[in-house]
Amino acid sequence: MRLLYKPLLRVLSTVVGVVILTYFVMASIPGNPIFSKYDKGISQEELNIKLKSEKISVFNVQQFLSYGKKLLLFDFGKSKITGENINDEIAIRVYNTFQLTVFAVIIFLSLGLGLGLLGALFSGSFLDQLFKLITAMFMSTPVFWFGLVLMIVFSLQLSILPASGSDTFVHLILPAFTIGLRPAAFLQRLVQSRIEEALQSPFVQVAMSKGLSPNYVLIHHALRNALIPIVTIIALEFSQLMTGAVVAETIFSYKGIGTYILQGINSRDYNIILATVYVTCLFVIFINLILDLTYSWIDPRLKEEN
Amino acid sequence: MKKFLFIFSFFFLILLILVAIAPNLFTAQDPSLQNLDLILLEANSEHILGCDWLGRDIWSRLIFATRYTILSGMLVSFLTLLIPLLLSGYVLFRGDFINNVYLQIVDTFQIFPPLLLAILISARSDGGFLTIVTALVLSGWAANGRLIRAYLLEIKNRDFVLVAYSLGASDFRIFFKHILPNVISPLIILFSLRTGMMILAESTLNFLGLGGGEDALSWGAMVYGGKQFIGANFLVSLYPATAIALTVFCFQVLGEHLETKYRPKISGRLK
Repeated sequence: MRLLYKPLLRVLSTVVGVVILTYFVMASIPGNPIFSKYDKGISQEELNIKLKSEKISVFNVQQFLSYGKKLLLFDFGKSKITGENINDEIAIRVYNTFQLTVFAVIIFLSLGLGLGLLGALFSGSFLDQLFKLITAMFMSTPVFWFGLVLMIVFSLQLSILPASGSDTFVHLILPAFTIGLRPAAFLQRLVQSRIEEALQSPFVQVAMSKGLSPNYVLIHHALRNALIPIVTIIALEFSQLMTGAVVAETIFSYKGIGTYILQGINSRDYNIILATVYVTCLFVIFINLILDLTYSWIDPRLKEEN
Repeated sequence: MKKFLFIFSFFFLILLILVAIAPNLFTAQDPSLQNLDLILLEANSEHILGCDWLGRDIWSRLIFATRYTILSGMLVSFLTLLIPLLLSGYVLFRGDFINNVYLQIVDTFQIFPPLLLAILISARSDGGFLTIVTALVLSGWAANGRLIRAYLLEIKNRDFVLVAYSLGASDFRIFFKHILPNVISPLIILFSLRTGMMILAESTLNFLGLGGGEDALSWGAMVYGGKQFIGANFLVSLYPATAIALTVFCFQVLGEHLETKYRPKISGRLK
């Protein structure tokens, strides 16, 4: 319990920070939802009346408090444009995006860890050089480039995978690779350098000279010690994954939280924007909390310090 | 191989800066001239990369958009270093409470997925160069917040700073005369690495249509516009997307080269 107390306090203060920050950004947006709702054929007087009747104002303490309370209770209200209930829509979107991210994380972890280990084993060889070049290229490539190229190759040229939609598992494949490939390059680099470092250290040499098999030493000694920075980068990459999700969902017209954000922004629908941003941030905070807690499980030395 | 990549990147970036300064030298075509007879034209001798969905010459658009990309990348990268440098330089001489407030603010900004805050801010107007720069600076500065504070703190605890203090130097003088010169080289390395990342972020915002839509003269916006015609001619969006990737790659190579070659003792000890 004592272990939970500090991270939970940090989560709470960050959530409050996020609520304040989104409110101030949103309140300073000049585009007006009334304009989006009634289009541009509306006179100034009519607009003023509408504005008064719908009680839209900027920077208002009362508004801020009620808004904060609603967010904390997950009550996002109705869309200002279409009038549909945001909670229902967001539940579907979150589920879709969650599916997509889980699949992307599987790709990211298996490619990153697997190729990282492989690179460390063949350190200095031609394969190592090749990996270094490819990861450098992937790290500097925008997410949408992967999306476009995957779409051109697999949907337009080979026509084996769908270019858009979000109904079946097949629709997940291309967007998930789009999201996962770039972070995987970052992870590959880190894993390889950490394992190479660990393989040089005395405890690995001791384990080797005891006669343990090289594979056992690699997994149980080298990888175990390289795990802390790896978990840190996974936490950092997670918010990258969410950004990637916005881009990939746009390219492949996937009905997830990312396309919902853009829909909200394009129609200046405050409620949708707030709800989506808030939910995404909560998701990232939650993942960070879990990773925080795994630190002491991975490295028992940290537990004693607490 | 490494050396070759570095030399290539170095000259490529110099070339890009030249293009950004004087785009007229590299193309004779007008980037915004529309010709409806040439819509989605394949490459020929007059239009070496073909034409886009409004019949505009792609090569000249690529050339003229370079300025936007290079300038925004460097400006944002510079500001995202300057803001945390000044802020953490200030809190460095204050008590624990102010330091904790600073770190909490950095944490809050950082919990936002990097582009989400930028998307929020750039949605506040119809886009344009300044909106994009503001959005990226506000969402990007926190990423350097802790690192730069650590650099400064490490120098501040050195003996020569203590000596300067005991000689009666003011906080102001210590920061600018003694601490700042010692962190300049890691900052330059960081600048090169961050510029590439900021170009990526800028083009992503433009790709999502937040930088003034498909007619904005930027590489990201060209990809965004070409995306709708991907079935007819995918090269229209593939050219600018590859230009972005290549530019960021060169900044990355340059940064990594500087890092391995000139990695100063301070940042080495920090790692």
